[in-house]
Amino acid sequence: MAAKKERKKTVQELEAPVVNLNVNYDTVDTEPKKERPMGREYPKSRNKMPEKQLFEFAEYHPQDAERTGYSNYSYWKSVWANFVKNKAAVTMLCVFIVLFIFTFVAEWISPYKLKELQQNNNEIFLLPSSEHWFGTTQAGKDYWVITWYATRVSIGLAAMVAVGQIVVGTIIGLIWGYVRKLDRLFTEIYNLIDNIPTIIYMTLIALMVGQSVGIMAVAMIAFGWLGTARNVRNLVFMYRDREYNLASRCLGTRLFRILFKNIFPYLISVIVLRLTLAIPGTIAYETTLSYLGLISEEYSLGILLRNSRDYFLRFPHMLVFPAIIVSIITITFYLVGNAFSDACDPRNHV
Amino acid sequence: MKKLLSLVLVLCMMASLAVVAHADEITDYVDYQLQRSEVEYWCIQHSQGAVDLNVLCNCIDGLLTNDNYGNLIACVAKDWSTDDGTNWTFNLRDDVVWVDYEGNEMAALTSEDFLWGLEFTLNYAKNEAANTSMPIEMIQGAGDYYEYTKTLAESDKQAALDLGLDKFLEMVGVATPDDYTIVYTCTAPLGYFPTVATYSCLSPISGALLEEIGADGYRNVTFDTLWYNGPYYVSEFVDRSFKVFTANPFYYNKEDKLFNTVTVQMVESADQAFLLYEAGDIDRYELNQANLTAIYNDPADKFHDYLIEARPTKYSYQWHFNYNRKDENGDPDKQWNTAIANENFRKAWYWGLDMTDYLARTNFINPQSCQNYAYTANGVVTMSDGRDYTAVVREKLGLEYDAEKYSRFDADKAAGYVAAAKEELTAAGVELPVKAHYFIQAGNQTALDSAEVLKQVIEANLGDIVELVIDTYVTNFSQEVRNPHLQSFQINGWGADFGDPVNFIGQETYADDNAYYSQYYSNINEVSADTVLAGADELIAAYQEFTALEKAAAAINDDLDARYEGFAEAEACMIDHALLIPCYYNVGWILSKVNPYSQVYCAYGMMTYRYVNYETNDAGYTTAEIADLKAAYEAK
Amino acid sequence: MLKYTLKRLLQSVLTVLLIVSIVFLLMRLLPTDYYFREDELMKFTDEQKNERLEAEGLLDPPLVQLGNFFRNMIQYQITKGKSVVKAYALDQYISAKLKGETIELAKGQKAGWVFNLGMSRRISAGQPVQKVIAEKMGVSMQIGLISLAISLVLGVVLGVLQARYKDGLLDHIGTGYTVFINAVPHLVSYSLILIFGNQVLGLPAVYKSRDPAISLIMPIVCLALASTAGYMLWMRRYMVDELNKDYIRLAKLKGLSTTKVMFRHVLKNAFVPLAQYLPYSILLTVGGSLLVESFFAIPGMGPLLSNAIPRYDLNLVQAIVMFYASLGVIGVFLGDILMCLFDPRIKLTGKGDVR
Repeated sequence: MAAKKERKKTVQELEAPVVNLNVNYDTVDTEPKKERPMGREYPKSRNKMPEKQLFEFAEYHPQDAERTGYSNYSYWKSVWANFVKNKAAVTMLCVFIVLFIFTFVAEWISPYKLKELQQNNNEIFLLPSSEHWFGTTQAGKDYWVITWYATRVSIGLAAMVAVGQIVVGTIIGLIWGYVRKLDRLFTEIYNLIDNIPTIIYMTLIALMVGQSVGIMAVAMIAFGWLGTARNVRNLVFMYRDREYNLASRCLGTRLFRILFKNIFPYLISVIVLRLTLAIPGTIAYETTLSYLGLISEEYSLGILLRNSRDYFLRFPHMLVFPAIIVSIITITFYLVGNAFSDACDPRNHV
Repeated sequence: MKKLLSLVLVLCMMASLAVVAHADEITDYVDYQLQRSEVEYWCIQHSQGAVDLNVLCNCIDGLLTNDNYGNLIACVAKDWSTDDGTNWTFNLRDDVVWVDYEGNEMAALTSEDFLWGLEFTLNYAKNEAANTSMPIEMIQGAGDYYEYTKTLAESDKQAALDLGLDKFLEMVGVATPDDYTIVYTCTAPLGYFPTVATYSCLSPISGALLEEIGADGYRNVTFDTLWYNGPYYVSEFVDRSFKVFTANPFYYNKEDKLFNTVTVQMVESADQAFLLYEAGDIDRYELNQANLTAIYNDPADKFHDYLIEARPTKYSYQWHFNYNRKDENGDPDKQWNTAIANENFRKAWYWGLDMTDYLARTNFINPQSCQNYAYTANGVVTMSDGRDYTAVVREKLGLEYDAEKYSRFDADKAAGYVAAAKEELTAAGVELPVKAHYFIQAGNQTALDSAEVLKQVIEANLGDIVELVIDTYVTNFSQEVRNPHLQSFQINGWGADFGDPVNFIGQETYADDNAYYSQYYSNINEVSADTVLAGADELIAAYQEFTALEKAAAAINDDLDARYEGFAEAEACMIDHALLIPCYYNVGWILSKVNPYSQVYCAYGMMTYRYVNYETNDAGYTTAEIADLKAAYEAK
Repeated sequence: MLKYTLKRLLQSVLTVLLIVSIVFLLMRLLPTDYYFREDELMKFTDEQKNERLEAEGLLDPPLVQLGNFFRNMIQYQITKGKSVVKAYALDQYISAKLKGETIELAKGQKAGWVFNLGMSRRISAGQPVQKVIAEKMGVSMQIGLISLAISLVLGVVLGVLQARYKDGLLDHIGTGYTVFINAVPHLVSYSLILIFGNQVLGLPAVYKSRDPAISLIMPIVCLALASTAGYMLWMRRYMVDELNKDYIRLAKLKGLSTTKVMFRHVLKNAFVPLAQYLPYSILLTVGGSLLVESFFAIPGMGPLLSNAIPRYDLNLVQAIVMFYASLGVIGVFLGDILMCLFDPRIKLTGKGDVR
């Protein structure tokens, strides 16, 4: 539903263009404000019966709980086996890994070192050559070293933001979905935050706190968990009242155990997908923030793209190299994300 | 062979003449601006921003204006005179009318309209304290009237808004003997008062318009409600898209050459503007670094022969030292303070920096044309013998100006000062090299590039005694850096609102609350034996010497030449002690179909974008043509 | 249904007011130096700054300012020509009436109740903010609607075709296209379109109000490219999901032609989830697009918010936020209704079983 939700934002490009290509769940994403629980409510009369008449609590034995029907099925092994079947995704993943390693190696194999780069008025805007492999910048600095360094910064930022968003979003989503009393409250909070254009938060933070990558990462996490949380909440709604959970609850399983052992596994594929898509999403978002002047960092892919806006007509190399790298990263994560999330879905393991 | 050659030459010349002759004048001029410089206020009295005044100087004519040499010339006032510099009489033309945005004649302009203008400026309720500093300082009773309206507004805002001219005329030193004469009484003899008459604070408002829309309505006026008396009225305006000036059919000065229309197209980026210039959609383009480099380095480029060096902007950039730097804890940074209080240290800085690389950041083709050797900007003041004021300063400094190299740089002299500074500072307990903190805005790529060059320049020349530290602030220099005194120095440009050196060096004097730079940048008034390890007295003495000279010059009001000589003396003294150091001018490159030497050029005031008397050439001027035009301009 | 609608609308009004209050208070956190322009900041002393801020009422405690804002939301204004001579807030008007004062009108003055959100300060100084938004809306909507129509038609058709020939060449090309569009940052793809359009096709590089038709081509293409990809993607997704359902298999077994099945049954059902978002998308075209509009210098809504914030044009910021929030609320509501119309099985008021 993510891509459609984007139009809801006041400024559509600001949002990461999150697209999932091959999803087989969550096709109708219920709006949380509409209060449309997916499971059935149980008849109230059941609660009136004295509990003693219904069941006695069994004592809890961790080993016994795990002992049911053993097979040599291993979840992660199956995930991996399924994943490697997708040749395109595996290839792209390899390309990405090489690229990532290269961000460290690039400076080492180049005759120029990032820290030693000097302004040089005689060498500005040189086109790519054997001397400067990616040409030089408006300040006469070697673009190769800069581009790879920027790539590293951007990947780091994206990974940090993606993980942060998913962790926060999942935890909040689980609680939101499972604890009925809080649903109302969370829904209201969600509506409030979601209806205020993100750019207001971002601008305020940038103007008041700072514009460094670290601060922006925290800001992106702080306002980026909403989508994941809502997604998770809807799925929890779907599963929490299933019979096996009811049984589990009746047997006295603790809340955390129910959340993490019973419900969470169903969410893995969604979470993995969201995680992998959040990475290119963050990079795209970073580009837009840089364009608006809200991020300041010496080098990041977003900054390079923004800077090249003023030069690319004459010196396309300033735009082309970072753009290619961004595209590779994005495509990788789309493909890998979808393949991996398919592989994570136990229903595909049979 | 010779004959053949000369024949070819003659043919060539004829051909080029033919080309020149063929070029047509532009009748409908198209200019451009970046989107972020869109006009914000149409109320000239309320506006203090260049983005508005660049538009309004074509719309609302005040008493006087400037020509392409920066001279004061008649505008609505046909002549002006004074007794002893205190009372200034302006005789107005009787054929000036107000028109609306469709060019309909609305009312005649009388001297009363100027009264309404000044009343509006000074009335706290009407104008919310904008633009008041110059009239309050210069016109008798203006400050009292401002305070009066402020008190009144606090008890009864409506009463203050309803104020007419009676109380104003009673309190403020302005009078209108008849409909076409206006007399201002200054607080003291002010020889330069006419230059103030070009500026927005003395602009007129049509009394009839004010009557119609009220004071609140006028402060929030829009282009389609405003009345115009200038060469153009704005007939169309779409915010952040474009605006159209149409020649005013009732414009009084029939000798001025106007375009039929001037369109200002708003663009997103410099590159987009270039696309527009290439397509012939705009008639002027300020080259950015990328385009300039590409065109300059490629002789085959179709614009290669059309590169024109622009005239300097009106800002004169200076190094402003901070004599009371504090560290993050708010304690005086005695290391830096002591170093900068030492005259040898400052002089090493003054003589020892070859700034060519830094100037190349602004103008890489011709870095030396950005050289600045005085504090007051070029073209603010001209002596009666035609010399520019800054030339007098340079003579007094004994500087040779050389357009080929960075004139001030003198390695031998600097080495002497460095050695002396080293000895004295080490004796005083300063650890060399001393750290100099320079602040730039985080995320500003251009500023960062420049700062890095600065670091390279400083450390190449003065590495023994100075280490430059580049620090950043988030958004607000004054709050984050200036108020806590964190910077060691700042490079700032100052542009004047009126034509007198006091507007420049008056900002630097010692023990003067109104001196802006002393108060906010150099913090010289806070220097004492507690803020430095040694040398406070010498520093203060130097400042006092300069201040005494400045005050003496400011007191001369009857003889302008003597006044300017006095100021030049003071300025030379200040620079000679290296209390601050002149840094650079902003001189860029353009592609243009307008002769820049025909455009209004004035280092003070607001007339830069007045689209009057432009010489144009719809094929674009070549570098060679402009060189000729420049020579002709300078010969005149 | 009526009760439900009323309840929901009331709730929405509350939400919107809450949002506006939050934004109002948030914006007061911004340092007041943003109130001034660079050239003013350079020359003003602190006292001068304070005078200006005081005159504007910006030094009051934020909650007082918020109170004033809501008080003055509905005003009784006396106007002359285009300008306001005097304004009464609701409570001022009532107290004046209670005291028995009569509000007299001078010659040429008019009086009336006005919904007042204040004046814009710098973006369009002195204009009521509603008017500023109203002026900008038109252009954005024009571009938005055209590109929405194009991308909807293209996206749905291509999406259907992709689903029809699943795993065929067309499907792969379509998927490649969506991946590409989403992989390349908008800033880059717009730049490419700009170069291509301007240098190869000779289209104007900026929007020209006098000649909108031709200069709108590139912005519309830019907008449509991305949203077409979105519609394609989702249309294909829903179609494929629907195709696997039992009733379709049954229909096929009964011998209905593929085309008939595709259009009569699959498309109709697959369109339901899209329909929910359609009113929303249409309303949101009013909001414009930040990147496209600043890229081509289009005087629309898109860049308004990001321009207004750092210029301290607070009234405008509030109005825009209010406007967007209301659009959002109405859009979702209309979407629900439309979905009901498309799929009678869905009920908004009923309890329990909803799809």
